Amino acid sequence: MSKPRIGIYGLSSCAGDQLTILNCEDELLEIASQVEIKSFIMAQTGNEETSIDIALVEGTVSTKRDLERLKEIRSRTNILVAIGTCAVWGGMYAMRNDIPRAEMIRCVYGEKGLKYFDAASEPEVLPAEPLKNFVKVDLSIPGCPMEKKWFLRIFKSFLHGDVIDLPNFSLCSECKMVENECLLVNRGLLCLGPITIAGCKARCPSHNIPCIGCYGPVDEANYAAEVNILLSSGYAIEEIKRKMGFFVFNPDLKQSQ
Amino acid sequence: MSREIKIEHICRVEGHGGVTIDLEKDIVKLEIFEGSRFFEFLVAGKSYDEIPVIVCRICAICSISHMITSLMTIENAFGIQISKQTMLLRELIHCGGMLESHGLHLFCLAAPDYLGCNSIVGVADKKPELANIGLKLKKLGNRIQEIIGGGRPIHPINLRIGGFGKIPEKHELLALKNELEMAVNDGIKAAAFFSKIDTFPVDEPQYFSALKPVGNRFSFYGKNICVSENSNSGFFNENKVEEFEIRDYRKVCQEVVIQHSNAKHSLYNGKPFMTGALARVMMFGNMLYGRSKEALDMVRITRNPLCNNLAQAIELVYASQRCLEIIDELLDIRMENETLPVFQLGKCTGTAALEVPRGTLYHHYEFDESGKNIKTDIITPTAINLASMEQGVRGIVELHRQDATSVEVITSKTGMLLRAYDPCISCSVH
Ligand code: SF4
Ligand code: SF4
Repeated sequence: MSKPRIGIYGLSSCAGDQLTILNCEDELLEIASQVEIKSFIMAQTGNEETSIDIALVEGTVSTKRDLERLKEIRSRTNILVAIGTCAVWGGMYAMRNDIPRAEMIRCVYGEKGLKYFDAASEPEVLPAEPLKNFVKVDLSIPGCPMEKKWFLRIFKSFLHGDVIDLPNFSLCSECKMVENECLLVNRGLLCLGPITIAGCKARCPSHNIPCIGCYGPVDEANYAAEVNILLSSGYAIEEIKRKMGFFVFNPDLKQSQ
Repeated sequence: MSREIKIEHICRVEGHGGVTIDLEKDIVKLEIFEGSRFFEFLVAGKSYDEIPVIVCRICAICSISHMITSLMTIENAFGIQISKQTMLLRELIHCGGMLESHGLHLFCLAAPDYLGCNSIVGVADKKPELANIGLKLKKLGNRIQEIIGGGRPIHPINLRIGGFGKIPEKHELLALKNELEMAVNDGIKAAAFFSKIDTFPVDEPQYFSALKPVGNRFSFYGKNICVSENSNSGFFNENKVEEFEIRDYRKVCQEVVIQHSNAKHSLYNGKPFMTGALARVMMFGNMLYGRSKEALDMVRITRNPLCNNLAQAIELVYASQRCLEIIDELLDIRMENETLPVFQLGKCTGTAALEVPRGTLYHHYEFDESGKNIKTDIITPTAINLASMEQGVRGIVELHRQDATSVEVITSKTGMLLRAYDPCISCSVH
């Protein structure tokens, strides 16, 4: 059997999910021997943008160039995997998608910058959006960054043609498993565990730190219940909304869909 | 023959950028097309305590750098004092970040240039020992970050304003010592390798900039910003150095908006300047001590930006050696979980700077009475270096434009030069 051809790509991102792959120091050389890495711009030269079996794509679509790149990758890959919360949900960069880009450009680059960006006939800068808003995504691995362990497990499943099985329950289940004291109920802290997908083994609550939702929401997250608990603990609705929107743009809208 | 050279995408660097050179019109553009994520805008209106987890996501390789600088900026704004234990644990994780970042750059991204291969896979083929050292150092840096940072090396969770969520166990620190001792030796081997590679002449940046270490020993922490003018006198030459307070960082980094780059450029006196391992080692290398001093004495290092690789290798030795010292100190002071300091909110301003893998990183925040962020300014080392990188490419073009093989030579040297700066493009745009 010929080796699967893969491509590892980043759109606008922090490169954390690509780096998670490079952080598999013990497995890296073995992985590279089992597949043909056709493109991985961050880590190799001599890249070939040809047809591939699997594309791993990180980051959000934030520019016209990102969008063209994503469509181009989709057109020549069999399977497209979104890696990291940005690619899956929009992540942190999407938190101000309610604001016109021109205003953000002016804030960061000033009037002169605005002129440069305006020079292009079509808007170059787009609101930060997840891959699924533009192309078909075959598999999503959330996490900010995605968990190394999950990446390796999924990678092996791909190679062996096994069923891929990611957690589909909330973080609270994992948190209870490690017997943490509940920060939300017992200590009245703004912990997003109930509405966040599991996978990190409750890393933050285990360090006395409330979950900020970096893995993105669990299916059918019960936002209303969480909001009620937080309101009764004395949090203002603005703060609740703001914190719930760190990794998913406008979570209430999602709920009403 | 075409007189235009285009590098569509600079490979083996973090982020997205390319180079366009027009030999006829004499144009050199380092095009940074990585999309802006508008971090300065994202944090506007956020509560002070929400900022660190947001800004650490500027970049994965430097997440610990942004996290620590952000905490320092907030602590500076609200006048929060941190304990010795917190200071040491932070420096330890910061040195871990240095090991990971320099390890990644030297062995996975830069070394292939000098071994004629495409990636770490080729390095493992041609020089298995070198690849092995690199991956080991990188992994150790990540392990340190995991132990202190709360279980993951990227976007660490355990660092808080004024302290830590939970301090690491003693035995976890003890267990690092063996590997750190090996890392010191491996760093020296890396320095030996990078001292022997073939460099080529490149225009030297007119200015270098780095933070001046607080005491009389080399450090990534500093009080004042120093800018040294190119002189042939080697290390730190008092007469040629201008010193600035950190809160006056804008006097050193005069930012300009550039049409072909989503990252702004920084100029000092209207001129490009260089920050990073080479600047640190050239300016303050005489403050190195112990094994890192040995490493420095063993090699010949010049202001040629290609020597940034060698300077990083020397810092690998320093960072490993410093980790060992910190661990001993931490074990001495008997670590315990501390309560986080309480402090008063109020209208205030904070600025902090830190020497991070690619150079000096600056954060500046302003807060209103309720602790809400009203203004942010972040200047990253790669943004500082872009002008100097572009100038370096211009020099290469100048030197080779008449060569029969100009396209190949210019393309390959440009790639090597840009990579030697270890640019982090996501950071530069942010
Ligand atoms: S999901 Fe997190 S780690 Fe991945 S690119 Fe986005 S910010 Fe970086
Ligand atoms: S601490 Fe957070 S994650 Fe853990 S059980 Fe409570 S709400 Fe859920």
